Amino acid sequence: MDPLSPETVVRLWDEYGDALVLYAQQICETPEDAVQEAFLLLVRQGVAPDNPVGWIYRVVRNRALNAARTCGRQARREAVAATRRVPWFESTVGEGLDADEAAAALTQLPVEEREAIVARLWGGLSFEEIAGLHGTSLSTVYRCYQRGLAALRERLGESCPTKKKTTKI
Amino acid sequence: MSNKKENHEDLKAFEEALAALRPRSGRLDPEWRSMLAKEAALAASLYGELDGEQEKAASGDVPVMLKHNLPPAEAVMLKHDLPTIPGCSHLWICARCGSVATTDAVAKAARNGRRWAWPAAFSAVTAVAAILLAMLAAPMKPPMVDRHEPQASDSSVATTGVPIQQRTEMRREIAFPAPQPQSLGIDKMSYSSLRTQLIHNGQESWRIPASAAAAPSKILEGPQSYQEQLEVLLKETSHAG
Repeated sequence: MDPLSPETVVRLWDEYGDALVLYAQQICETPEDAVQEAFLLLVRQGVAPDNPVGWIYRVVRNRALNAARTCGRQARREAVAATRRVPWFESTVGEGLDADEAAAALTQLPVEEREAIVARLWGGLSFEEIAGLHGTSLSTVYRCYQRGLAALRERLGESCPTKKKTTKI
Repeated sequence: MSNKKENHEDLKAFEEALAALRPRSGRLDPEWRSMLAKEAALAASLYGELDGEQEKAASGDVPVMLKHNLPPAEAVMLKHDLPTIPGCSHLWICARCGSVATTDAVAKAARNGRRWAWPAAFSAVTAVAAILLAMLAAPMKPPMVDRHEPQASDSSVATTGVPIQQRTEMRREIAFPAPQPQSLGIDKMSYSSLRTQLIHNGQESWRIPASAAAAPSKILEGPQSYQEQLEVLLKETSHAG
């Protein structure tokens, strides 16, 4: 097992930090803390895991779940998350999905579907990795992802530019 | 069939559009980034130092404890109490699942540290409780007082028909016998014995010698305290005697 180099840590931070925050935000109210603590754990273990991205997603998820459990206000958390001022995405310019609308549509989805979509689309994890992360089967994760994506498309509906394009064709 | 395929393509396009959104950046503390880089550099240097130990462990010279996928280097570090990273010397993390791992040595050390804590505390508290209980249960003995009991004949007389106040007076007299003026030579009287006599028998019991009574001039002179007057008087009395 190789030692964890500072370059690896910085690269992981730069490439996956924002996506990890977004992922943790689906679970708890303090996503930044969960991500920073996960990175600290990674550094303190001194050696690079086999799959650093999968490892850190797992740690972030555990931390976020612990934080959410500590708060013990799941329902309230979801309500707060829905009305949270901090935007989830960078604001979009020109064509493409509206960032705020997409975030609002995402908050309407069940947590499992949201987690799967965020981990897949912005975290870049494979379905196998997501299945390992959630502790479920591959088919369950895939179905969950497809269902969430379909629901999102339905919610965003008219504002989806690609749909307009396809209907014209 | 074509409808299903079209739907799939549509979903694919939507997926791409959604993935084009970028998560909000700048939410993580940038100071953490540099701090983590420093810690990683420190850990890497430490790991380099441990490399030799790891090789030794692999060759069988050093027993390595592997538990819950703990990396061998950390196991060696734990086993031989080698220098560890400041601030994280007791943190052992599973390299695969990321959860905090515990080894037998860590658990044993923790158990050893705590093994005698509760029994010792229990013993101490029990001892204190026993002492307090003994103090509470033991009867408090009154202070010993030597008291001279009157003779049997006197007591029989005293107990029959003598009023209580009189009996108390009698007891007091028995316990603190007043000095008899007749028995004490007036010339040998000290201030304290004279005072005791005066207290018990009154001023009338004290007979001023004729010589002193004849020359009371010094007593009456000037403002003097009662004690000074008495001392002067006693002195004169002794001179006269």
